[in-house]
Amino acid sequence: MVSDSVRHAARLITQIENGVPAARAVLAELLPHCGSAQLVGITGPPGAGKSTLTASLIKELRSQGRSVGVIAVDPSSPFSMGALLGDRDRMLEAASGDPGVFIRSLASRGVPGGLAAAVNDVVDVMDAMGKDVVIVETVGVGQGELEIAKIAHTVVLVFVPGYGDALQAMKAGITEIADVVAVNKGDLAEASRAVQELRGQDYVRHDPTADRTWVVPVQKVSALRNEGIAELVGLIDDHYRFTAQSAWRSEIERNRRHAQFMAFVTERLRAELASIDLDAFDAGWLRDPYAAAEEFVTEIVKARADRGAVGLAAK
Amino acid sequence: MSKEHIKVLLAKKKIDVHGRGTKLLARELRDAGMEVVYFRFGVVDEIADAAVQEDVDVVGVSVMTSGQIQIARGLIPALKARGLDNVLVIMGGIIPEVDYEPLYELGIHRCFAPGLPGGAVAEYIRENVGTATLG
Ligand SMILES: Nc1nc2c(ncn2[C@@H]2O[C@H](COP(=O)(O)OP(=O)(O)OP(=O)(O)O)[C@@H](O)[C@H]2O)c(=O)[nH]1
Ligand SMILES: [Mg+2]
Repeated sequence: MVSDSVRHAARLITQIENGVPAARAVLAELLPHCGSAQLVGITGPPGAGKSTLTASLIKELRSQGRSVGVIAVDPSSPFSMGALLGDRDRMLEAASGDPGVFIRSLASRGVPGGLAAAVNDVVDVMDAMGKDVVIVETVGVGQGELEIAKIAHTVVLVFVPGYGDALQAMKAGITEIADVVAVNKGDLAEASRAVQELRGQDYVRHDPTADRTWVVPVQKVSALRNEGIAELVGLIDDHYRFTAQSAWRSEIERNRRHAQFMAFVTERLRAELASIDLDAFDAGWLRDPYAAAEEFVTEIVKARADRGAVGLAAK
Repeated sequence: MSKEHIKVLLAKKKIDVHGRGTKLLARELRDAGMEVVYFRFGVVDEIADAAVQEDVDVVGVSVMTSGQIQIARGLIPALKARGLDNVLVIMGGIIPEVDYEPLYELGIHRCFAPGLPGGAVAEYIRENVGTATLG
């Protein structure tokens, strides 16, 4: 029975990945069972040890009796569209035979905006499965980091010592998205200096809903040796609790649902538009597609405004 | 049968140190447009669990140091028990040819000799994915 539901969930995730419209109805049914999972984003430069760290987090969370869902995203090759979905050794070892762990690898498939939408939906599937914590791992190269930040309650930026130039780039990222910084490969000699340097920066995050700030903690870890992992989980939980002490937590969740709404509407409208036969277009419209598009959208928005629908007023 | 996104799980035994073959094949399959998850397994249930959660179309097992018969004997029922009746199961590595027939009888769809170009494996997968059954 349990394996049955795992199979269903796994297939639903495939449908989500493939943009199968039927998945939408199932997701809608799952929604009442969502909302209890704690969402943790893990991001950072390639090779920082995100997957290894995720494996240690699985072990730590399981030892605390918390069930875990993992969504590990790796980039698709722009040439073949194939993907190497990482080396899952340590993660699967941490999960081995444990029904409290569900690990799913996703390829980014190069759909702009589409990835975040799919990940959002997959999070709902794992949430509805009753996973206490859902971890989303993505390589932080540009836009991906910001998209993940909208999904997770807490974003952990994994950083490694000795990156030189990357350090500067990462610093920019820290101020924008990191709620917790993990300096991984703490077993290497240079780690302590990196930790000192980052701590010295006194990074803070401003609560968007109240006049208070969260001081971004910097934790040294060794994912390889399982050091500092319990402390890291403690910091993630601290941040999670902190966001609940104001409207911050609900703001994060609102952002997530808003992103989903945007993605659904975009996808639905695209499908509707694609189904309109070219012959149905007025010749004048096709001569001036810009004006036609404007008129088309205005018409929809105005129809909503006319019947008093809130939220999307006509400009 | 063709399929837009073919997902492959490649597994090799934890004690097999020769990792290059599997990683090379993983790369070749990626270059052939497939999405590949690879890992080292201790027991076959780990392969089956990962195959369900990842919802793969193909399971490939690399065996370098014998044990292929036991693996097949455990793996096929484990996959079936999890409802994976349509997954394509292939084996590679160092497998004596006399074992091919017994392995096919146990439900393995195809064995590949070592040193075979990845293109041949990709082609086989592309042609057979989605049509296989685990009887
Ligand atoms: N010394 C040391 N090496 C580590 C540690 N954590 C991870 N590594 C090594 O760093 C390499 C990359 O680890 P991954 O976990 O695959 O890193 P990743 O960030 O997930 O990589 P991508 O997903 O490819 O971006 C591997 O060779 C790991 O063994 C650590 O704590 N200490
Ligand atoms: Mg990784």
